Amino acid sequence: MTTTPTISLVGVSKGFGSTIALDHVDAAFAPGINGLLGPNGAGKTTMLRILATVLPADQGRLDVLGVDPTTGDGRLSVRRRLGYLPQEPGFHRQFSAFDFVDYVAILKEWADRKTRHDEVRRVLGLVDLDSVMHKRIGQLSGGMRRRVGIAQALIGRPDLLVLDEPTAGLDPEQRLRFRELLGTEASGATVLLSTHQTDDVAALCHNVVVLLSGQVRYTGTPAGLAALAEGRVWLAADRDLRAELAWITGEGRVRHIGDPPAGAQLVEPTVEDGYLVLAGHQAHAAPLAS
Amino acid sequence: MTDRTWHASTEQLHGFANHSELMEQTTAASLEAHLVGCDACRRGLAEAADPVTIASSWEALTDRIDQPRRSMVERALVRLGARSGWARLVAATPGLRASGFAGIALVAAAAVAMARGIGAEGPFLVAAPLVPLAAVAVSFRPGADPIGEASVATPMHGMGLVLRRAVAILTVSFALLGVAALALPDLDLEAAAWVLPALALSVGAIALSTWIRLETAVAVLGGGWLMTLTAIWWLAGRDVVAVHSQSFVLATQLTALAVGVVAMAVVGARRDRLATLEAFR
Amino acid sequence: MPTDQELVVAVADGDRGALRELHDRHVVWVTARLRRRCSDADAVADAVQDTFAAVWKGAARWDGRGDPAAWIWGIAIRRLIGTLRSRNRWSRALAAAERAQSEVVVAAEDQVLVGIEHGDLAGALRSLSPELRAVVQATVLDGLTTREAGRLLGIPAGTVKTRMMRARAELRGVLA
Repeated sequence: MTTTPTISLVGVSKGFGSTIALDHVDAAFAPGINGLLGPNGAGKTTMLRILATVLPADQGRLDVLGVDPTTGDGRLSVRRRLGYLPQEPGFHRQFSAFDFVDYVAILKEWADRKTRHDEVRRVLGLVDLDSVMHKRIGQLSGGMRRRVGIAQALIGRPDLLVLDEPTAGLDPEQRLRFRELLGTEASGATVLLSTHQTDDVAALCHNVVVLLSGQVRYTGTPAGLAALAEGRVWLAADRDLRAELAWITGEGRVRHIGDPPAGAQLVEPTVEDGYLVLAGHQAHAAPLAS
Repeated sequence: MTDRTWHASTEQLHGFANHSELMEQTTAASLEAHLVGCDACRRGLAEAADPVTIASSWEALTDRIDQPRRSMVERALVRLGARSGWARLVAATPGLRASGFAGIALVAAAAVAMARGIGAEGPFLVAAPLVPLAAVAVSFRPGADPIGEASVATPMHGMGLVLRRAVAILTVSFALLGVAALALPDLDLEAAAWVLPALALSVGAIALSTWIRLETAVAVLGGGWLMTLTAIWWLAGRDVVAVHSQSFVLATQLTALAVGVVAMAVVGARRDRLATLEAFR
Repeated sequence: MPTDQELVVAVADGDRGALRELHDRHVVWVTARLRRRCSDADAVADAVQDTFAAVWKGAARWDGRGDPAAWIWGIAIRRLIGTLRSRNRWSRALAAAERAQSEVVVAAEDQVLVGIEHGDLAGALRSLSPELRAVVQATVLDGLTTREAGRLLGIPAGTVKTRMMRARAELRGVLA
């Protein structure tokens, strides 16, 4: 890593009953956009919750923005510089988008009403929800609700942005807007986002961590992840029956990962290919690109 | 009568936009009547005006329409001196909604009715301590905060908020129960014998929730209370009147006081556990 | 581009962007028209703010018939009266207008406009005295009741009635 990490995890473990969600995880994140890739149940949400001070770890050492978040003071310090989007934000039915973001802003110690409301309008404007900010959240579409969640995370221009599946439910145009937004709003901040979408990772992240079954299986650049599949990705006219990983692409040909099927053409690997090399069948259990 | 192909000139629009009060009376009146029906001229008029005035008028308007609606509880808290931010957070406590008030009032009224029915305070003294316990269960269970998980990762989340919310719902519960208690058949010292057990149970539940799930804590304490009363009744030779004897009442009160004090100490010592999701799991 | 009717329906549905568009379209003419009835600029500004706040809250109550502009004006003039009442200052638009009257010359173009909107009535109106004209404007052109007109002009309702009768008599004479 060329820049000093602002977040580091050493030997972090977390279990729930008999399930091990995180298994002696070592990771470090620097300012910029860091991606967390993995199927459902891999431990992404657990890791993000621990870093967002919402869950305590069972074991291990943590350093977040220079403090230890396991102490009361450390937690308070982190929370003052943090924006967090949970996988399932709890939306109160009667709240409008404005009410929701305003409520979070109060929780973030914005006591003065005038400056607070200006900030609420600002972040709702960033996610293009100006027109509907006074509609009840129940009336908004899933994509709009996600954007309300993103907006509340952006309050106060935090130094640390922890986003759990921020692009879930967003259409391609909104995902593009989100990428632009991160570029301008979050420059200088440390962003941690979890996703299923490898193209988000390829477009946004300078650093990606792949989590499988609670363990880190790759840390590095998206290009490095793609390179794991170098020399193993093939395009053929038909599916080879012995192939483990193969699917029909949009152009009608069949993409294979692994041994070359008969008459196949070698192609450049993408981030998705690299991820599939690591995750294999586990990845197929989750929707990879929706 | 109105010829729709006629439209106002730029000078007229400019004059009307910027100093309408100086225009000649009937001309201005005619222009006004025309504008009500012609959107093209209204557009021209808006263009002839200073864009800064339109923008600042909108800004002033947003200050008014962007005020969130305040609930009755919120307004009451502000009047009692709470700052508007805290008032909003506390008013959002689930137990403080109209349904909460109604529930408490109903149970209190039913208990009083039963007490008056049999001419003794017993039923009320048994039921009343369970009411604040139930209020705690409703207000602090996971997902009770209207925002859910997003609220946990904020600086104001933690003991300060829990305490203020607890004070609010306990004040409301105790006040409603106190008012109901005035209708009890015998207004002696014993009519207040529910207060300390109520405190012990509700603060105890919050304290226990730093170890186990809140629902479990509430069930344990509620069940424990009923079992304790049953045990006392048994020990008194299954004689309801004897249960009211000095020694039993004193013992119960002192135990409740001790439990309450210990519970508060525990909450203070383990307040860090209130600060994360797991506390109220 | 949405029509005013579509905007009002959107506002009733809580669309803040629609309110902004409606505001930007109507704030100038409403303000200018109110300023011709009240020389107190602060009162007019308050009334305009009240008007659009009322539009925001009450858009669902618009009956859907006619031009929203007329509906908005109805709200605006009544808000102005309300503002004047609470400020307890009776403003006479006429006084301000009359002071400026002496400097204004009616341009030929304006005469065309007047002729088109009111036909013969225009010239006849000009022949009325200022007090009678004010009463005619308030009741006929602004659609106020005699009581509301009285509040706006700072005169008792009875005086409004008598002046209307005199105005009608004079106009009948001129138009005949």
